[in-house]
Amino acid sequence: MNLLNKSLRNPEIVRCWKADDWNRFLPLVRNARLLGRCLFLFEQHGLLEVVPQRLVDQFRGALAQTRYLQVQAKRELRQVQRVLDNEGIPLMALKGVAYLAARLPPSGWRSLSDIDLLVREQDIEPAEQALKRAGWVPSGEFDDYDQHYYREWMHEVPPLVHHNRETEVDMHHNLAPPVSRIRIDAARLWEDAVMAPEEYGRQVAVLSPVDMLLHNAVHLFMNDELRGGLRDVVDFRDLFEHFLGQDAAFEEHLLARARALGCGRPLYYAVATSHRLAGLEPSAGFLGRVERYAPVRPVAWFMVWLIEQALAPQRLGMWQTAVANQMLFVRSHWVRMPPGMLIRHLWHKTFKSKVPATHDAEMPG
Amino acid sequence: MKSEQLTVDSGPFRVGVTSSEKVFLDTLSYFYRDVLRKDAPSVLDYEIHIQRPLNVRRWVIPQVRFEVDDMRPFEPHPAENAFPLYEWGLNWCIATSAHRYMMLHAGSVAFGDLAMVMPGTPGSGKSTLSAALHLRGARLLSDEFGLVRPEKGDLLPMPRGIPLKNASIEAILEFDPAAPLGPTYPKTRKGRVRHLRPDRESQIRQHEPAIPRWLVFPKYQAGAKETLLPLDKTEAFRQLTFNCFNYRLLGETAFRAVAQLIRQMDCYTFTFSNLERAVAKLSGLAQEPGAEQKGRA
Amino acid sequence: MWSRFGANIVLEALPSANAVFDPETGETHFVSELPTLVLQAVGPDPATAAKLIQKIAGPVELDENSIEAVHSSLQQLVYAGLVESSYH
Repeated sequence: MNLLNKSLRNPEIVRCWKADDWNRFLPLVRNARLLGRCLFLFEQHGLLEVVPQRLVDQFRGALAQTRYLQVQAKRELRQVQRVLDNEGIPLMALKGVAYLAARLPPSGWRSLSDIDLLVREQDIEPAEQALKRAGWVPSGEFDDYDQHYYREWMHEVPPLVHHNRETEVDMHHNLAPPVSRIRIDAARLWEDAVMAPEEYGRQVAVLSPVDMLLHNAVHLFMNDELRGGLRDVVDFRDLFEHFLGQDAAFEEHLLARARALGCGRPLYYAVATSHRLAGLEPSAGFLGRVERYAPVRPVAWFMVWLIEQALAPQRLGMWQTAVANQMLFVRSHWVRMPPGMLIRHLWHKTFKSKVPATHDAEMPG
Repeated sequence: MKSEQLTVDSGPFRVGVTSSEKVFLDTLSYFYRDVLRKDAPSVLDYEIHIQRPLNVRRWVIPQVRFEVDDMRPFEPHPAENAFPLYEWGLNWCIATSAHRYMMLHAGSVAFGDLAMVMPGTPGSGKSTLSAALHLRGARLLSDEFGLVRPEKGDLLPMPRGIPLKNASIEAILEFDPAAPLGPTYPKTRKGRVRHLRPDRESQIRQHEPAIPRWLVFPKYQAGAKETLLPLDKTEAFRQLTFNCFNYRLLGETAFRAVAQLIRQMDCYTFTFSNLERAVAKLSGLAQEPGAEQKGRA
Repeated sequence: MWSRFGANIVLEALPSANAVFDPETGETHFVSELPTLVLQAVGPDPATAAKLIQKIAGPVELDENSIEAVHSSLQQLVYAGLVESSYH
């Protein structure tokens, strides 16, 4: 746990900070992409006057960049909506662009460089074709293997970008890939979906509150985005607190839905991590019940250590972080793919790690 | 090799610099001795490390790396180019994070507290012009970054070593043989480079903002007669946005700030070939009666 | 029919044109007098050219050249992404 985590858990501690503390703090915040978040954190707690002005300026600078990216993301969403509405294809916004569309608290500070969208499995090919006809092109060079990886294994089409613009569009038909251990029934996500407020005559669907949180958990702890993932952990906390504020029985609903969708394990990791590293304070009852989804003790401790090294290093550049990131990378692919596929995949990606991809017994988590 | 840390105030930014390269640290002190901080640890904007790698290039054809926040955004450079690497690296840090300011790609000098802003692409001559105007007595604000506070419409100085490239070095020495130039770096990515040290007064006054008053788009053209032409405000607006690093990023804020600048500044294009005549012409603007009044917008 | 969805444009008058900022796209445009009037007349409800002309000119009847100029302005505005055209 580093200064950033400590300040997220208890912002008041910054009243006692000296220059050295602020100097250790700033690189951690920049690296975690939480500059904008910190501005709001300190503002909310009436601490802005003790934050050195040059840091406040850095926070504001980051927020200016975020606002720009948000404008571009909303614009891209509208353009995609025009095309897919025309085809009669239902569309759901995910993650950052969903928080924007639904005007949830993270939209106050959360940056995003691409937009994540969900369509139904039967719609994903027609949607891709429709976008390509309307001027979107693949955003990188993808060989046949990559294409196969994205489509068959990953529940996505390779990212698209419109030839006139820069925001990438990532289309999915599920939250966890079909080949992973976790099988989410996407139809159930659509059943419970919620419409975001109308804007300029169009509406987009977003996940229900509990599904939004479960998606955050699944994305962070099952996908390969753990690097830089503290921001998503903070999102988990912010969304949790917001929804709890609107629905006193939210914790109940979350547990029930996790059970129904088979997402208990990622939920456990998300709650444990955001409690430890981002200041989430769930009720004791909830913590106890979610712990039932934890893996066996030694694995849980190892995972906690791994996650903490990757997301909350004491200082940047520590070798433990690099090793932890490699191991988490391997792990996250393991939980997404059967072992045989994993080896092929990692070999193809010319994985340079010294950590062997094991295909016997217990990889943790 | 022992590591040493210096703290430098570069305009509004406070930079911690850690290095074991003695020559580099000496050069840093030569340029910025008037703005080095010697007191207790203070809060920094950037903590930069200029160090040799841990591999064979530590000793064999030695290299140095620029590191900030555990990132190494550039390829390593030859160890003897540590100072230019530091300067360019710091520019990168500022350009990618200092969006609290509207950042113009412009040289600027101040006559009194009125600023002449000279936006320009590489080759326009803005750095050389800024250097020449400074050598003749104008306060140096910057040769590269015009830091505008959008809410106030003023310019914050950041007087740093002015990198002169190739033929500009000779041009400045011809203009002023006593010009305080730093070491020569014969083989950088941009050719041969020497930096002009800003005078003591510009550096110690770096916390005094200046009011933008003249907007001059320079263009160096060999053999051309010095020609200062008024520029239509719509065109000036357009050109200024092209020369603003973060115009699009800042959106409406930048739009309004640019409009305000265009309103309060007299706008010109300026073609020149001879530094002596160029300085005379531009200084002439500052000496015109009524220069004072308009500036106070 | 023409419409404009979204936040209002921000206008700064310069001596020879108007600088127009579109918060929806983040783009800056330079628009002369007539297109500016046309732009300000367009709203979220799709309107025909005739309706827009009525809004701008009021009771004054416009000659053919002026009407032509309004149409050409609308085309410019669509090209700049400031206004959307649609059919009914």
